[in-house]
Amino acid sequence: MTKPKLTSELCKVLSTAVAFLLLASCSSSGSLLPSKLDPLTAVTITYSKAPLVFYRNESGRAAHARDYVHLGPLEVNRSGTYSYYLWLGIWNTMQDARGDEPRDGFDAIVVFADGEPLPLEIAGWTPAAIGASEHAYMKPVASAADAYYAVTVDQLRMIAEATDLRVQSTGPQGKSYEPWDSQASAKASLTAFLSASVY
Amino acid sequence: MTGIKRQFHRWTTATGVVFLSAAVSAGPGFIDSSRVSGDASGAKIEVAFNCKAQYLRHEPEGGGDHLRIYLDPTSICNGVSPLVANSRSILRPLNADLAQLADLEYEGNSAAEPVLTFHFTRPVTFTVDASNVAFNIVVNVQASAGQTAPPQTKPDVEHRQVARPKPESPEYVINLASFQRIPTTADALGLQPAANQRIVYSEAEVGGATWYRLQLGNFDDADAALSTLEELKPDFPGAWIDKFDAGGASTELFVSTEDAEIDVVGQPASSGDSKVDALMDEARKLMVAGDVARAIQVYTKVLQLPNHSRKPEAQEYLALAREKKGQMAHAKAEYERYLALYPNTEGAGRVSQRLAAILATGRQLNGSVGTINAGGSKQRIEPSKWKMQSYVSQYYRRDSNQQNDENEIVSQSALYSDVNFDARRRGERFDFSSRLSAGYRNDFLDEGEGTGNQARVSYAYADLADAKSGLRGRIGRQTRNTGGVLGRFDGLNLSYKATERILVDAVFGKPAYSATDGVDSERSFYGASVNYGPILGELELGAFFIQQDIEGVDDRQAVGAEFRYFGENQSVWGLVDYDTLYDELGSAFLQANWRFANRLSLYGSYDRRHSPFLSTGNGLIGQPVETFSDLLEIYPEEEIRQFSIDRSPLSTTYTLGMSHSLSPKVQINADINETSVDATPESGGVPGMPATTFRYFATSIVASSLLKEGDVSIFGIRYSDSDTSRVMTLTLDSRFPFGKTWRVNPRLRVDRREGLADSSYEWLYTPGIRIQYRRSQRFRVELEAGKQFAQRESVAADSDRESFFFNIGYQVFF
Repeated sequence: MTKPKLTSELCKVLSTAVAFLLLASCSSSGSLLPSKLDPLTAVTITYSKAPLVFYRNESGRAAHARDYVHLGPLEVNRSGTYSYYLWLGIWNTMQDARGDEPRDGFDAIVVFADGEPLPLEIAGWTPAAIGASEHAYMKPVASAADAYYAVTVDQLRMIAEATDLRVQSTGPQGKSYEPWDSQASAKASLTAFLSASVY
Repeated sequence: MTGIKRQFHRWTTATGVVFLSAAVSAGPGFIDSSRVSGDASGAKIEVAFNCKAQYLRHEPEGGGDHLRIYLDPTSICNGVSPLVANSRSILRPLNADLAQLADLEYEGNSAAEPVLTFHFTRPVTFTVDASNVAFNIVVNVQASAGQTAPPQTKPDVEHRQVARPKPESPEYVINLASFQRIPTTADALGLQPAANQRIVYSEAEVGGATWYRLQLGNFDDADAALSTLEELKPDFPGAWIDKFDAGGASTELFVSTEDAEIDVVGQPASSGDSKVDALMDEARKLMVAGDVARAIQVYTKVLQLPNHSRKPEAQEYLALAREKKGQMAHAKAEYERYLALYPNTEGAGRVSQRLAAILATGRQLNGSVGTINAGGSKQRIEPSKWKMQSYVSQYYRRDSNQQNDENEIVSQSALYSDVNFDARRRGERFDFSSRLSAGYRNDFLDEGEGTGNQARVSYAYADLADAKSGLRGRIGRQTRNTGGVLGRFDGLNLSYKATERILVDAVFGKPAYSATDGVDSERSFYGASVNYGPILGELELGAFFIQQDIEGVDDRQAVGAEFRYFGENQSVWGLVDYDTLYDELGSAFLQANWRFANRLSLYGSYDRRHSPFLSTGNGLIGQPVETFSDLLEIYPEEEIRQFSIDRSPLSTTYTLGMSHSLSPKVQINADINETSVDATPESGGVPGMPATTFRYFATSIVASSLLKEGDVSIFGIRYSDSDTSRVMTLTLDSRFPFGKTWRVNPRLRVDRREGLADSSYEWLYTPGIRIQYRRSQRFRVELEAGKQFAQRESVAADSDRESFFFNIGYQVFF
């Protein structure tokens, strides 16, 4: 029987986390609503600092396997012309091990907001889709796929106001992603986005 | 029967007459009053109208026993609707006998022009004294019926008009529209009152109902009002002119803006900020032009600009624009924001009034509008009626294999049907929702060849949330991923939002590790958790306790914590689960990423856990019994616990990665990963397993719009190395949109596998294609097909294998 030393395990995890947090907080702006000017395309992108996180258990593949989708709103200001998008960061804990292309099923998605289906079509997989030279959101892992979907302001508001959200990929292996419990930061960011930026 | 029919007709006819008579006599008519004065030598009949009327002609000329005066009523009315001109009325003035008058009859619904008829008791001579357009008409009646009256001349319109006294004060208003709610400025958007004019609303009781009239005024004379009315007709087709009621109460909406900047909140425009002024002017023009959506964007931009004095004004107009656009929830939110930010401004009262109007009228609040139509036409009603949505998909899947030219073996031929049904109702206080998500697999293979038919229930729950108390309960099959709950379960989850930042959860249930499982009869759990955040807008913390039993034995007992931090250029996510029953670290997970200025991002993660998750029930793994109670009859509890630890090895995974945007259209990603799983000992008759290590290096290049706008191609290389094999994989995946309805996704994957145990090599070529056709937002068809060619060379024997698969199906929303 292998019994890990609790103290050393926990200390390793916690000390790493605390160190990173301290380091990260030193450079944090504190704003819920970052905005950046794209250095190459000169568009101004406003986004939510904390994306919503959705997950799907894949315990059929491995006990701890999960698929994740991170979702965040974007406002792109192109010389006074405003466009709105949803960004999705698509990844899984078994990334690449099973050889599946993470983009499968995400050419079109359906966001269910309080049961109301919002079918969305992919606008693109690179920042060029929104007229930017770099992603506004950080994807969670290197192997994650970035995806952009054009949305209306009303669709964004519907997503923000929904008490019950989920994301569904389409196709033969369509999967339903449920929201991670308690996402206060993401919800606060989304509210701030709608309140201050989106109209 | 015929008699009954006749009686019925008689009864309905009589009833109709009664109702018609009542209708004729009810409410104000076109004739306001009539008066007869004079003596036996002559009399004057004065008839006053409620609306100005154009005199057209009269007949007969000079005299007779009746006089018909044809009129053309205008929409300039005195406190009544112009519709009274279409009414019909009969009256007999006081002193009618002085003019030998039997009665007066006005027929507004005449087939020809509206006509006013004087019926005399005997032939009289008369003259008609009428202005071209006037509120009244005078008929002079001579006593001698035998005397012929002099020929009539055309009324001297100019003279009459000059003769009318000019009003001392503005006299007319235009009733733009009437509502059974308080009008708001949004109802008058696009309207530019002239200097010294106002937009107001007044209140009137009509037929027992309260009507609010949105009015533009005041006008010095009727002609000016009439001229303006013509201009407003396109926007306000029901507008009409009313006489200004100086004694009546009216409420002002906003003042003239013709020559000055709009100053709805009484604050001076920012004098030095020309950019703000220019934007506000642009927004106002857009509003006037009806481009409300664009105006919303400009007002938002104004609000985003740093300190300036016109923010309250922009805030109010933003709300107005939302209201004008019909987005009532948005408008409500913007009005509330105004009141929160500028509670002491002059405009606060006005904004409160508009907000009250929105709330009072119960107009649909479509704040969450949107949906499948680009414009978002669906609206949420608060409180709503039942709202139901369903989603159905069906896919047929077929997989087949063929080894060395032998007969094809079909490994799967099945139809997968999935349905999702949501029903919900939003109330003033309680929100109810329910969801059923289930599926069924029809296996078309013969018994023994396939896995058989199978039903799945992923979700089946009802949810009730109380907005007042912050309590929420969800009962049924559901999932949770925090609070120590390991995914799907059947049970009850109670949440209590203690404060804006503190959420407390309690959970009771039975785990359902697979959607195909029924309710677990052996395990049950309960637990509690608390989440706190966000702290400083970026950090969230959570802690939990959970206890799970299996057949009365402790299965799992754990405490844990979670934190998440989202910075602008960093994020960290950590989870710790410590099993207090086994005194073991159940799992520890840490993921972090960091973005640098040069479009480079770095990623790292650490994951250490028992796999499968540590629980006493794991003692069943490898044992020749199916239930835990059977196992308890064979082994003592303490020994089973040891089996559980033996069957739950620790796995550790490290991942490091980077991504870099080479250009807006090209991105490169790379990551390395190592996963090791500890060895497991032999125990309880179950053989041990050696430790394993698996690592891979992968990189991919994502490029868009290479061949056509909107396409994307992903080229990937991956090398993996395990204790048993080494695999090199190349992938090419391209996605091409064709119009708005078609997407084609050709792909190719090539694998080279090296078996370390038997020194074998295997090449696998897997071309495939996916085609999607979107008939509408609610209906989609997809086809996926592919073939795999495998060539294996080994010391023992070479072999070829071919596999073919295809999926075809559809999705539809109702």
